[in-house]
Amino acid sequence: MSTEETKKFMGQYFEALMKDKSDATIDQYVTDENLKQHIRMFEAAFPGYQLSAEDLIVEGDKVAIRSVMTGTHQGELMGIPPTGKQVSVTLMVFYRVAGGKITEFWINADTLGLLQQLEAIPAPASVTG
Amino acid sequence: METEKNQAVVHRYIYEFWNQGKVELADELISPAYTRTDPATPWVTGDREGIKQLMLAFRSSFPDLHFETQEVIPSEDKVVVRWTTTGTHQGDLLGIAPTGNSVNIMGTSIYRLSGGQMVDEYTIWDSMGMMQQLGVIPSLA
Repeated sequence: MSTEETKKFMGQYFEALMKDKSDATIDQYVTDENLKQHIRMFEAAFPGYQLSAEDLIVEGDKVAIRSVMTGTHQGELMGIPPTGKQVSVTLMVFYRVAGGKITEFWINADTLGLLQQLEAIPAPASVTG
Repeated sequence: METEKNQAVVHRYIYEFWNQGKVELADELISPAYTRTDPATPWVTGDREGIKQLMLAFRSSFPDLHFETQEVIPSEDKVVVRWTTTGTHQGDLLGIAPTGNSVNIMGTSIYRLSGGQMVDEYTIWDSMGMMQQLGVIPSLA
């Protein structure tokens, strides 16, 4: 896909996903099973979570985004029972797009920051001594 | 091409400044106005002096620290890099005594350049994975 086509596709994907993270919507845009599982896991823990677009970089079939995820912890996450806490987590994602679908993804998120906001681990000063 | 020049600056930053510990290169590759945002390293300032301190601290904790770029996307005035780094924990790290453990960590950076220098950087890396590989925090289910 060209850069312009990929940009348009990613815009449609985020718009659809922010309205509805049903299997039908996910299947329409994603073939990567890891990404599907990742979205389902976070939607279960943070129903209706939102992603901002702080930066979007597209070159051909490659996409990188910098984003802030916001949501309320209403379901279990990695063994942590719901806390009701609102969280705000910075993340970056790489996507590979082919044939009108996301075929691969890599994510880096401020996971330590997320766990600190859920009070599942102590704040940085006490983690690092 | 400006994008090729930018890519070369980022390559030297990763492979010479970080991998070879060439602290003096910071003044050549990084603008005095540079800002750096990384939620995992609040213990250094987000400027050029801070990145020097950060590199020296990590190379002191992991003397064999070595970054590899896994994917590089140059785009206009930005260069996006997906990277991995490996190292052996042989020196004190923020109060964590040397464990001798090897770590293998993934991260992502977006660099913006102007006039052949880096002017800002956003980095997110798997600091939790590092803490787990050092045995400081347990693995989660």
